[in-house]
Amino acid sequence: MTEQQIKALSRTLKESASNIDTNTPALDGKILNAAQLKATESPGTDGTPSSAFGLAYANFVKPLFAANNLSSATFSVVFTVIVFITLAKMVEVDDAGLPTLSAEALSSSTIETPSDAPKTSTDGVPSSISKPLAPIQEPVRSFGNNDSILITMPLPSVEQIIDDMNFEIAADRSLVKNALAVAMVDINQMIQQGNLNDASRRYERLRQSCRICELPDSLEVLALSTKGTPNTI
Amino acid sequence: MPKWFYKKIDGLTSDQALLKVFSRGQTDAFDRLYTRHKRGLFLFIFRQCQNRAIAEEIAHDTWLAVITQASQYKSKAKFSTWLFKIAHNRLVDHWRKHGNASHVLLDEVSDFLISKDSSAEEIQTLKGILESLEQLPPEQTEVVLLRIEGFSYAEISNITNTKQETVKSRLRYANKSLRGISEAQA
Repeated sequence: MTEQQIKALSRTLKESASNIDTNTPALDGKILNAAQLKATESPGTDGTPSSAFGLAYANFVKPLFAANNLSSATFSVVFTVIVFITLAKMVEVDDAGLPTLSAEALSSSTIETPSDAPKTSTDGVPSSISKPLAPIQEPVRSFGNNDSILITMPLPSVEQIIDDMNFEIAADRSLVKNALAVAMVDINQMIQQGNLNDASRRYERLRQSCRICELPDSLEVLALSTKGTPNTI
Repeated sequence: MPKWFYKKIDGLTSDQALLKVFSRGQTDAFDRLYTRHKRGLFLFIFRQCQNRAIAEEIAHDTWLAVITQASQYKSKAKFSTWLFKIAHNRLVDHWRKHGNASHVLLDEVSDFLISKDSSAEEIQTLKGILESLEQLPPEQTEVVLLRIEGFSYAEISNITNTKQETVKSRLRYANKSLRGISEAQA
């Protein structure tokens, strides 16, 4: 078969194809239903964009980055930087456009007018404005407070911790004691070095690895549970 | 989304992008993909099957495989290459079970040539080629059909899961056999 014959055959097949009925409504229905079913089974729950955005992303943004040899990670970084710059600009505008109040003024119940302004208005009404205030609440315990607990309160000894636990099997006690001893040495060392976050993380790891220990939720609570005298740092 | 939106981007939307969007749960992307390729795929299968019912069954299996494996598709090859590769595998399974004794191609072209009022010589030549084509092993017929469909050697090699050299040699053997048959007929 020569190239010309292939071409002739190709042309004939293309033309004859128009005579073939490729309309298969039953098949179309089955396939499209299957696609619908699959789509409902696994909808776009992976944080992926909607159809329109997905198409736009796949056709415009992605090729743009691919053409410039840039990865999606680069896109993410650029996008994050743009968001930060925009937020920074918004804060700047806010600072520039609005009068500012000092921390003292904010904490007092009245807002004083500037010192060069008259203290009383012409009709004798004081120029200070009463500021309605919500009842002052106790401040929420901050990280600073937690830190001070860890610094000032000694952690209980391994024996003290073990004493609070109930073991059904005696062998568990020695296993837990060994694990606790190692962890508490690490934690105490970290606290002494001022690495309080590391200490908290190490404690959390211990707590997760030793479920049967039923240790308190946080290192601070463990420290507060001790009856010892505060550290003097 | 409004229809004009899809019309506008239809030309710009690649098969790969549509499949990706479908794998994220958007059925309308699949609808477009299906509309785009259903005819070409059906003809490819139909021309190598014994009858329409079998062709529909194989086409159904092929599209179901696309639906279930959409998320695993890697855009190393064109979507059409991947699609025809799945169809090829289904056809091979079919040939293994039932053999390949298709007269669809011959009937199709004969009907077409008669309806077109072609010259007796033209009909004779093409019928000769098609009859020869039907005597070829199915893998050689498939290579010829894929070549006619516009696939490159590399793409045919991907679809049929063979080396490019094998594709070329199959096509060469097909040419040789067809030429031999044509010359014998002459």
